[in-house]
Amino acid sequence: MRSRISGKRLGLLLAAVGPGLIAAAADNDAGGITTYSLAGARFGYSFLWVLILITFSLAITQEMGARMAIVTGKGLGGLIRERFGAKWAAFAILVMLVANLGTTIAEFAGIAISLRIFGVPVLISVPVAALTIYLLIAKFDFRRVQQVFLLSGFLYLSYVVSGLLAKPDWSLALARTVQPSIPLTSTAYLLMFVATVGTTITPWGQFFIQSYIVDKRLNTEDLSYARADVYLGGFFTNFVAFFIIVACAATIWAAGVRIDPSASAAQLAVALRPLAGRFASTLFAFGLLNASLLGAAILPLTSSYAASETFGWEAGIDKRFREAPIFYGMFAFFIAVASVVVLLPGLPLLQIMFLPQVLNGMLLPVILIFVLKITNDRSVMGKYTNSRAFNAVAVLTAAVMIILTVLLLGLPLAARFAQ
Amino acid sequence: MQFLTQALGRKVFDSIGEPVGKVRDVIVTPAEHLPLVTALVIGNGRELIIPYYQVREEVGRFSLPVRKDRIAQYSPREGDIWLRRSVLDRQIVDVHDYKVVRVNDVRFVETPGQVRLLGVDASTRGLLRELGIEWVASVLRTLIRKPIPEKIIAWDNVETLEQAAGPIKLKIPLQKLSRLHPADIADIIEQMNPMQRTDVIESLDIQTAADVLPEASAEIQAEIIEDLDPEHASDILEEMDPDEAADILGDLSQERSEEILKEMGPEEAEDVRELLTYEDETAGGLMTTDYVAVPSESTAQETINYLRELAPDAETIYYVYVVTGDGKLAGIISLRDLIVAQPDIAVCEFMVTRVIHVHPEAFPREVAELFQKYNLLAVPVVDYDNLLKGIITVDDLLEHVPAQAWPGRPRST
Repeated sequence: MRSRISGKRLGLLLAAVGPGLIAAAADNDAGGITTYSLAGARFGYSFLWVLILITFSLAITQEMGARMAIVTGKGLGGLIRERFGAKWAAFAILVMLVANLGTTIAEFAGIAISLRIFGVPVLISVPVAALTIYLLIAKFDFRRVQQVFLLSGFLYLSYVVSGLLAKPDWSLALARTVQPSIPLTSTAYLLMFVATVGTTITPWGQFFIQSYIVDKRLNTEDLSYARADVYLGGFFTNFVAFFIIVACAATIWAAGVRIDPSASAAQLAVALRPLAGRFASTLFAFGLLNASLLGAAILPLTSSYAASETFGWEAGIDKRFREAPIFYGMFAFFIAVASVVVLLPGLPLLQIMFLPQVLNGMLLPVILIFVLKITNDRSVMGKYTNSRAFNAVAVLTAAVMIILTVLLLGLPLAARFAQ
Repeated sequence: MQFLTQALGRKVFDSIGEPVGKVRDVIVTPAEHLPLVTALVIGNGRELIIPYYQVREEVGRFSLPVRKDRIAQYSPREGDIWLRRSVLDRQIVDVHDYKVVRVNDVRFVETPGQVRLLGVDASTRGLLRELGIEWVASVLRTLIRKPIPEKIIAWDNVETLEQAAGPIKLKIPLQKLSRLHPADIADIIEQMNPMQRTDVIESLDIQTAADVLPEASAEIQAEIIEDLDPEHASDILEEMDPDEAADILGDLSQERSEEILKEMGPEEAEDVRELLTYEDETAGGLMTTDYVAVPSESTAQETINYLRELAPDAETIYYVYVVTGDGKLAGIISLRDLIVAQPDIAVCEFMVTRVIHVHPEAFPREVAELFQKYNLLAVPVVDYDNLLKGIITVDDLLEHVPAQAWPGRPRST
């Protein structure tokens, strides 16, 4: 076989990993794992029903991205620019960059914490990881990078294994999955809800799925195939999330261990040890490391690709720094800022992993509104505009996130004024 | 007006100062020299298209010499270009620099009584202007001590890729693009997204498309052929050299490749099928079946006549291969030998019988060694029964064996 080398396009690069695994990598990153673990440890099986809601919302938002890609053959940034002009496109890209920078910081915090469990000090782990990731993208060729991502994608299965090792109460878990319970009174629960949605349905994910499908070169006849693809991805994401929540619910929550509200996934891994065994705990920490590393490479990469496409800058991992200075500069900037933030002394790493997920959730509606406007525009989508049911779910997702954001930002303020 | 982004959003007033609306788009009509600005699209609830000759430009606004209800209407013609809708913010091809770029602004030039479209601005400065933060350019200039240049791509060098947003595909003539050298068109295509690539190849004529494709990377060739409908794909492949066609089909799935082969002419398809049976990285995979062969009893004159007939299609005519009645390679004659020979002598009289050849399983590197040693332009490929299967030309070899990997050459550092 002739070697096929072309690093010009993001989708091709990640195509090898497969849609389900990519979606898992996209959504179950360091912050995602922290969020799910905390959810399981604090609210037990009763948080599982949220996954059903999220699976629907995720599937529908991702399907819209796939459909836009198939009909127009363009990425989300380019499409926003062509439809709304450069100013709105700059705004959307800025929103994505802010969300992604936050998430990249969370990934580096994940690297620092998980390696600390294995005894590596932060001052070594973070710079080494940053350098490794930069060199991987800047020096390796397209094929090699693909293989690394593929390997990393497979390692996600370690969570399923540790979920099984935790010996959960399956009948209770399944019953709670289909049975909603909404303790809406607590800010902690609201925060957890926004973070869980924010870690799963992301501005990042919307940009990613669209470039991915553009590069898969599907046409409108393949729409049902692409749908199956994204639905499977949505399912897989939440499948892994399910096992993470179950693992923590079956052990920490069931044993009644009280978890510090600012606990991290790594602390949870340590907490798992006496309850589920050393092996499950190590697997858990290893899964976190893997997810963090993958996210720390993919998030800056997507950011650079999306911004370059929108503003017409040279991009591609097969190019040299001189040929694509903004592309590589932005990539390096993300990694540098994220590692420096994590290395700042005295910052609570645990909060750093959790808060960007909340930020993601808050910024998500901005991107969803652009997506909704384009997918309802006949001049762009022709007969492939949204159906009513789709609009309903997507609008509901955006609306719920906006309301929760207002509540979250508003409640503490209101409390302060009330005093 | 100098720039499109400065005109868009400006208010338009009528003769007594009543607001008519804001500029939503500017329409230009292709003219002999540069396209002429012919109308403004004004939005105010509903769209109003007014001819440009009515419009007077004042500082920061436009005015009309008539009352609101007396404004003449412009009816857009075919070929008119709506600049905001189909040029601004979109990707275009800069056929001068062979680049696909995004349009940040459109530049006009004013001549007495007329405004013409000069070109598009794809520079950083143009982007800053479109974002309304052109002052950043002067900040940057003092920071990096280099001016942020303005770069206008002349309209003559601009090829637009789509007429308007939307899923309705209009076939675009791509006149400017198709005049370029195939290798340059291939460079441009590689910068596009997959859907644009297929659109461009579909818009080019078959011969141009067949010249462009082999210049693109193997992966992109396969992608494009896969995305075209089989009939169109087979038309293009028929025009290509059989070895190039086989290279592409070898990268496709079995069913897809079979589907396309069925659409091809039986002779072309058979050549390609034969070539497909050889491994990629062997002499068999490199060779083409487009060679000139004559029976040993032909005379020099007959051979020259035959060459005249065939030469336009053959990959090389510097060597003519002489074969026996059962297809075995008997000898080789060079073009030079052929021309200096007496017209009525049979080719077997003056052919070289000790022919340097390779077997289909030979590695490209071994083939390169032969080329190097004997200074060849092409080498015949024969099987172990001495049956002539095809030839490898030096340019086909060069494509597969990168220059620095050639034996006996110092590696470039």
